Parts: sequence; structure tokens; C-alpha cells
Amino acid sequence: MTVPKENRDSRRGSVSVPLGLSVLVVFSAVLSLSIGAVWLSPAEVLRWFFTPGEPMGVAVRELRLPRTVLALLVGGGLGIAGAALQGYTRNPLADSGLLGINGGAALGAVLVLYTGLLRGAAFTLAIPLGGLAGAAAATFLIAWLAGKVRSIQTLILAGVAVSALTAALTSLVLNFSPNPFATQEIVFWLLGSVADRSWEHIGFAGPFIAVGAAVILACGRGLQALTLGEDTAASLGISLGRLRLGIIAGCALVVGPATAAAGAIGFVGLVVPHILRPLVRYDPAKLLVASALGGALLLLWADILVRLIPVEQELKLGVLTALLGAPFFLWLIFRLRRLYP
Amino acid sequence: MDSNKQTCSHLFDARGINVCLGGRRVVHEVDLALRSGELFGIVGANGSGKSTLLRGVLGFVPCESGEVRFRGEDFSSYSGRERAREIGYLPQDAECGWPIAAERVVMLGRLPFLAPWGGPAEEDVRSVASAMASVDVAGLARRPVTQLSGGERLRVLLARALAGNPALLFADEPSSGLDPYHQLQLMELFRGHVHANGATVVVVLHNLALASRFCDRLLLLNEGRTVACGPPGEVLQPGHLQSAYGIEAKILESGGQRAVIPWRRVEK
Repeated sequence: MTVPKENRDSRRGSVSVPLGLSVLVVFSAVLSLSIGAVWLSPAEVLRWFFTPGEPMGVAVRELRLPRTVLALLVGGGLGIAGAALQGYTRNPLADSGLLGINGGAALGAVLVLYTGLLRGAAFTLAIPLGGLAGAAAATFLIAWLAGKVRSIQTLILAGVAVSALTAALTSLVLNFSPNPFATQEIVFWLLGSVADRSWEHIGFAGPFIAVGAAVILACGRGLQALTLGEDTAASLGISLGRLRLGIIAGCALVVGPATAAAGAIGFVGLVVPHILRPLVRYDPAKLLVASALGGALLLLWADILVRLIPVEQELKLGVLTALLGAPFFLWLIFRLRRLYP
Repeated sequence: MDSNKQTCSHLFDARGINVCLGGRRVVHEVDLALRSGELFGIVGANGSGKSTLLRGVLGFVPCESGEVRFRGEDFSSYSGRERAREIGYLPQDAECGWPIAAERVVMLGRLPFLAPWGGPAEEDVRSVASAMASVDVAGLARRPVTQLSGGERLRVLLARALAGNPALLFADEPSSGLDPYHQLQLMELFRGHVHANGATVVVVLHNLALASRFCDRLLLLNEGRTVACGPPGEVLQPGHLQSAYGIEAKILESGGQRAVIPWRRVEK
């Protein structure tokens, strides 16, 4: 019979996509550690990593490695959150910023920059903590709205409203920014980057992102069932309330800290699930792991490009992802017309 | 609790169901008592509360009041997964959000049977294959559902609902998008599912000819209230058809079966 064979095929497909992406991620991470002011071979990277004291060892351990790990974490987080929200809304145009949580994080961080610059006080994690507070505020707002209304469509609209509100407030802060330097600082932060981040940033954002990703992964079955609509999902034994809570909480735990640590990085959560969806045969559950790996890979490569492109002022990560993402978005719109006539 | 005699004979027993949608009461004090092994039709004009009744008794929309028992137990005492293993549901205008292969859509019907984090077992694959064969869509297994015709897609989604081999299946207007051949096939399939497995099928129908020919019992709704409930001959009598639909019908008799054919409009 053809059916068991197809089943074997699909299992093989579901293993090989994450496996292939993982190999690419490892390869790219090694490359990311190798490049910098001084190019190192993978063997040299290893040797310097275990050499205490030397400046090159410090550079590998304290500069290149945190940068690489943070790119993996943030990219992976944005990828899985984008896949989760696209699956939940059954809308291929949703992305990790859909709920306005990244907007809240950006606003919180910008407020810290604004007030902190005024007082001249700052410590390493002040900005991420401000971002986290902003993300939490946006999350409670969206969760409260989501509790009031039960339809997914209304949740999308609420997310758009929260995004617009946080964007307006961020502009307001910029408006009142005391001097051009403060404005520049804020704008640069908003453009997103994983440069000059420390292990503290990773220690702060990493656990949140890991827990959030686990929560999202636990929603996989629900997302599969939701393919057939809310009523059918409920008839298949999925608790829609718990699913909604899981998606909101998981995405908040991932996107909030990721944005707080690395700034506003767009398009990863939109583009990555899109590219990978056909490879996992449109399965919204298998897309989650694949998108986490794909997001990590994309952001890693964006960060590698940012360092390789010879410009005077280092290109910001968010600028590059948007530059790559926006044309893709256009192409997507034209392709979608054919796929969903 | 004290109605043991009733609950024993009824697989699914909903009493005094009231449902409000958007502040308007759409279902008024309706009873839906289903026996094991019957094909039960719900009929009524557009907006008479047929779909809302189904969504209410299944808990997809909150009931304002009413009691639902399944196998004699309070329906709310069953977990979502326990319900899903026994009760299938095919919504009106059933949709599929992604261009997934038909076979994988049908496999979604096995979700309540899969171990957490586990993949499909032999039995799941077998159930999917037999459900697809029963509605004549085995040949579409690898086609993306979004590229199928309306009738093909509906049959794939019906196979999805049958893949769990439910003891009780609710199908909301499944026949409306089908051609006459597949409408007949659908009703024969429902009857076969009832006879072969002792299952109960509840089907919302607009086609009175199909309802009168194939269903064991009918529930006729009008503006959210029960007009009549019983054998098709009793329910689809001229007075009821006039008050519920505003139509007059002809009766076609052939081979001992009766079919009601809507003939002309009359004053309600």
C-alpha cells in the first residue's frame, strides 16, 4: 500500500530539515567566531578559547562568543515566535511583532535610554531590564484584551493597536529627547544589534527565551488542529483558551527579552517561517523547530554580513534584516496570490 | 440523576438548551436526545438555530442554560480529549488554513489518539486509509487540500471526521456543496456508518428530500424553537412545513420510501 510508505517519507522529511539546518547553524557559528579584526581558523578559535589571559582569548570569549550566542538566541526566538503566531492566526503575514510585545520592549528600553542619559547613570543591564518591563506591560495589555475577546481576528487587531500605541509613545520620547546625541543613541539602539553585548545579556535573555520556546513547542498539537478552524480544533480535544494563553505567554517570553537584549530586529519572524513552510510540508508544529533553527541561521548570517560589509559606520542588524526582508515581503505578496487564489 | 431510565436509552441527551449570540437568544429551550445507532437530521430555515444548537451542546459557544449528558454522565465531566475520541464534528463551511496534503489533513482526525509528542502508529495510518477510501478520496491523498474542488475538499474533511471512528458524529450541512451523486453517497455513507458500527450521526440538512428519505428521526427548528421532533413522516407534515419554512411540498413515494419535495412558497 502507498500509505505507510508516504508515512515513512514524511517522517524522514521531518528529521532531515531540522538536521540540515542544525548542521548549517553549527558551521555558521564557527564562521561567526572566526571573523573579526583578526581572522582565525576554527582550530585557532578553539585554542584561543582555552588560553587564559591573552587579549585574543579575551576577544574570543568575551566579544565573539557572546555576540554569536546572542545572535543564535535572538534569531531562534524571533523565528519560533513568528512561526507560532503565523500558525495561530493561520495568516502567513503574521510575524513575531504581531502582538506588539516587541514594541513594548522597545519603548521600555528607549525610556531607560532617555531617562538614564538625562541622569548620566547606566549599568549594563539597565536597557534590557527596561525593555523587559515594557514587554511585560505590553503583554499584560494584550493578555487582558485577549481575555475580553475570544476570537483570533480580534486578537490580531488588538496587537495592531498595541503596536501602534507603543510606536507612538516611542516617537514621543524621541520628540522630547534632550539633545542630538541622545536621539542618535536611541535611534541606533532601535535599529538592533548584537554587537558589544556581554554574557550578562545572554544570562538575562537566554533563560526567558528557552522557557518561552518550550511553551511554544508544547502548543504544536494545538496549532496543527487549528489548521481546520477553531471549532474543529476544539472538537479534536484542544483547549482553545489554554492554547491562546500558551501562544501569548510563549511569544512574550521569547520576543520581549530578545528585543530587550538586541533591539528591534524585524522580518526574521516573518520571512523564516515562510521560507521553511514548504520544506516541512506546511505542518505548523514541525515548522516551530525548523523556524527556530532557521531564524538563528538567518540572524547569524546577517550579523556576519554586517561585520563583513566594509562601511565606515557599522551597519545595524535590524537595518540589514529589513533590507533583505522588505523585498522578500513584496515577492511573497505576489506568490501568495497564486497559492491562495 | 433521577432520570436513569431516560439516560440509559440515550447516548447523548441535551435538555432545555438556551444559547445567546451577541445578546440575542438564538436557541430557546431545545431538547436534543440521541439514541445509539440512529441517523438523526436537524432541519429548519436559514437562521433557525441549527448550527448554534450543535455548537452549544458541544460547548463551542457557551449555553445560557441547559443540561448535557453523554452516556449518562454530565458532559462537562469528560475531558476535551475524552470527548474528541468519541465525538466527531464537521463544521459548516469547513476550511483548511494551509495547503496540507489531503492525507495529512485526515491524519489530524487522529490527534486525540496520538501519544503526547508521539507520531502516528500503524492503527492511525490504517484508520486514515479506510476513512479516505470510504468517502472516495484515496486517490487525492497527496494533493494539497487547498487545490481540491469544493466537493473533494468536503469529502476529505469528512474523512478527517471519520478517521477517529466516532461513536457520535455531528455534521453541519455537509451536503450543501456536493453534487447529487455525492449527496447520495454521503447519506448512504452516514447510514452505513450507523448500521455497521452502531454509531449515531447527527446531520444538519437543507435538502428535505434527503432528510425524509435517509434519516431515522428529524428535529425541525423554527426561530430557535422546536417545532417537531420524531420520524420524518410526522415532522415534515404540511402544517409544520408551512409554519417553519413557508412552503408547500409534494410527497414522492418509491419502493416504500418517502421523499419530501419542496413545491411552492406559501404564507407562513
